[in-house]
Amino acid sequence: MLFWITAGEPPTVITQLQSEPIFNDWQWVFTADPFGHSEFQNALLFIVDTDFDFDLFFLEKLKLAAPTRTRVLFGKTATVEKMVQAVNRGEVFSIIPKTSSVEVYKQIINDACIEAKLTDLSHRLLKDSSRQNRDLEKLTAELESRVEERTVHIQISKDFEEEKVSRLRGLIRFIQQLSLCSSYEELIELLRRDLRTFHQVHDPVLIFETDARGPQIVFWRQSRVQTRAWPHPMEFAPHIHLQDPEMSKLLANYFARPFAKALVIPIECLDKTLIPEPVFHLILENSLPESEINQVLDFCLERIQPLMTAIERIRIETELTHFSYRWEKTFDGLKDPIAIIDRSDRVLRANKKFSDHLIKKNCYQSFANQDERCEGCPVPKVLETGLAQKGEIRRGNRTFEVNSYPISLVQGGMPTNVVNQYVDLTQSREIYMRLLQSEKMGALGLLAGNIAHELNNPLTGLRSLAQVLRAEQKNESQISKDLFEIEKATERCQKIIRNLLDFVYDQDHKLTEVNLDDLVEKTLPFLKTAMRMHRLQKDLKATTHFVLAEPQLLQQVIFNLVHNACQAMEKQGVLTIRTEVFEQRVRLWVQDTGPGIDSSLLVRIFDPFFTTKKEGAGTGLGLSLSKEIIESFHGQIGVDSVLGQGASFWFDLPLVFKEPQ
Amino acid sequence: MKVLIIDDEPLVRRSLARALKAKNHEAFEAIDGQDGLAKWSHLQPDLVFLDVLMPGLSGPQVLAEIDSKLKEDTRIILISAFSGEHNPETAQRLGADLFIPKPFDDIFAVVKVAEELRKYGT
Repeated sequence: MLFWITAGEPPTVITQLQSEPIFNDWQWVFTADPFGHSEFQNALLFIVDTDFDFDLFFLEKLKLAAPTRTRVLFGKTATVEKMVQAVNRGEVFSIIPKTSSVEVYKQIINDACIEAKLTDLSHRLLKDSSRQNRDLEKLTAELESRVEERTVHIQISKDFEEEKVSRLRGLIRFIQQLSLCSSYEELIELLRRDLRTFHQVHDPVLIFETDARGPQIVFWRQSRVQTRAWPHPMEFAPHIHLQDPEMSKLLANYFARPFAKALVIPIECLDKTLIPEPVFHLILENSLPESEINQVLDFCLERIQPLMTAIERIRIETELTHFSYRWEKTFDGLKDPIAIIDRSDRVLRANKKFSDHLIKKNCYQSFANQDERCEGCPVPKVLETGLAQKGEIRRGNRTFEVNSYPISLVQGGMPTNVVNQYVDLTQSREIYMRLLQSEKMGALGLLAGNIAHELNNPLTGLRSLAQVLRAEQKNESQISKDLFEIEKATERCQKIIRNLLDFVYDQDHKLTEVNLDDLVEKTLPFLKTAMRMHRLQKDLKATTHFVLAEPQLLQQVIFNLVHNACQAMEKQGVLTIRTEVFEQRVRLWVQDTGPGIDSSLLVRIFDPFFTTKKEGAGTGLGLSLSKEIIESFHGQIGVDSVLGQGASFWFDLPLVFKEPQ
Repeated sequence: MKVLIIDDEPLVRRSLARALKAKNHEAFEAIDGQDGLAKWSHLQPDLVFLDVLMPGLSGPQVLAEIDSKLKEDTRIILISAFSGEHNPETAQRLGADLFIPKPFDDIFAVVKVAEELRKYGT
């Protein structure tokens, strides 16, 4: 569109130019007010008639309103200076002189039109390119921001993943360590280590109840884990308590210190068939703000399942341990030796009574210290018949009744193992023999009483008669001397009878102060027959010292020791009886010059029924009874012996200080 | 004094009788409780030596059967070789004045005791 700005009518020559073919694509608008025209924006070329209102301001105004359009001046030029200004300030493309020919007009206007089109094109191009530039810039910026955003996201998710991995690693490590825990204490220690990441969580506490022992509490104090009885009843809390003030109070009372918030996590037991139902509460003392508690809770919840498993395992293990411990104790607590053996006499299990030392290969090696099966062993018969059997075997000097019971691990099958119970018959025999012994002593006492009476009567007569007859002799005749001998002999007899009565009569079982030397003197007359072959050496140095004992019993001991010593000496020997006082005790030695005692027998010599004498020569109870008697008076008994050099039996008793009479 | 010795042991009777006679006393012997009881009534002795354990009648049985008037008038010395159940107290309860266990250490001491008992009562 071409705007021809003029106040009046344009010259005819110009209007005619409109129809020129070169201007076909141009629409001509003739106007005096270009700015108010509706097509102003579409005008590419402005031709300003200088007659219209030519001044520079209009040109400048036009330039401002449509800077990218081409402007041409038409008309006479005022001055050259004005023209220069118009070109410079109004940026006029060309000037059409008014007086020119149509051709010139045509030429100039065409040039202007071409210029206008070019300018418009270039402007549009410029505009397009700048718009495109802007778009490009915008796109670039957008892209950059997106890349940055993506980078941040990637970083975040990477951090997240890393954290997740490390958390999982921690969890795996926890589970691994958990599997090594064998007690609730170790479990609490592990949890404590694991919870150290949370600075506001203190040492964990476990309260549980699994058995009849009642509630227990496991906690960390004084740098170690401790388990104690929990003095309150336990009830299983079905839910997690983020903050249980009641529990805080109980624990504060228990530890006697302020207790922070208590996070209580119940741990269910997998096996719910048990009665009473096991109860576990994990309590975390903490001073966490509410915002952080979830983090700890998540941490714990991740560990709950493994914890449940571990607790269950520990519980079962503990129960098993207790169970087997109880069995073992029961087994060991039985007074009789018991052993389980297999078909080839190997000991599988045995209690302590069976064998104190390491169990050897076979039962007869372990129990009886023999190289072959014990005589009388009922085990072969059990294996043969599959029925319980009884038998009697000997171990050393003791006799055991063996009760053998078959065990069959296969239903209805032959016995695979045998349980042997060994009952020591020696002891019951010992009791029987002692009873017999005391019966014998009682009978002897009765007999002695009768004999004493029967002897005392004639002895009294004899002695008295001797005295009377001696009194009738006027002087010291031979008869008088003989009578004196008779009298002395009867006196001696009477004394022996009195001592015998004292010895066999268990009068009143009273402890009295006894002088050992006196007792020796009283006892020796009974042993004259036994001692007749041997030389007696007495060295009694305790004449003024007393011990507290029952004289009859002590006399029995002396009798036993002296009698044994005499029996030990087959040939003529020397019997030495010594008493001595030392360290507030009186000791008596009875020493012989017999063959001595083998050191292997020395340890057993005071055992009941231990005897080296020929069958029937002794009961084997003498020394064991003596030991019992001496020990009942707080004394000690012992023997020193060197093979080939005799033996020296001794006993000592504590001194008593007798009030001077 | 007139003394009756009731004891089943001849040696005891004989020795005691001889010792008493040596000290100028009259001595009579009874060989058991039955004999003693008869002789006690018949002789009416001043003093009786009475053994505890005798076949037939024992010493305490003799004391239970003897006439109480006669018992009052006689000093009684219980003698026994079996000192288990008797002592001066039980002897006194039975009505005896003295208890002397056998064996005697000195027969003349026994005679002396008997003389003293006769002279001064219990």
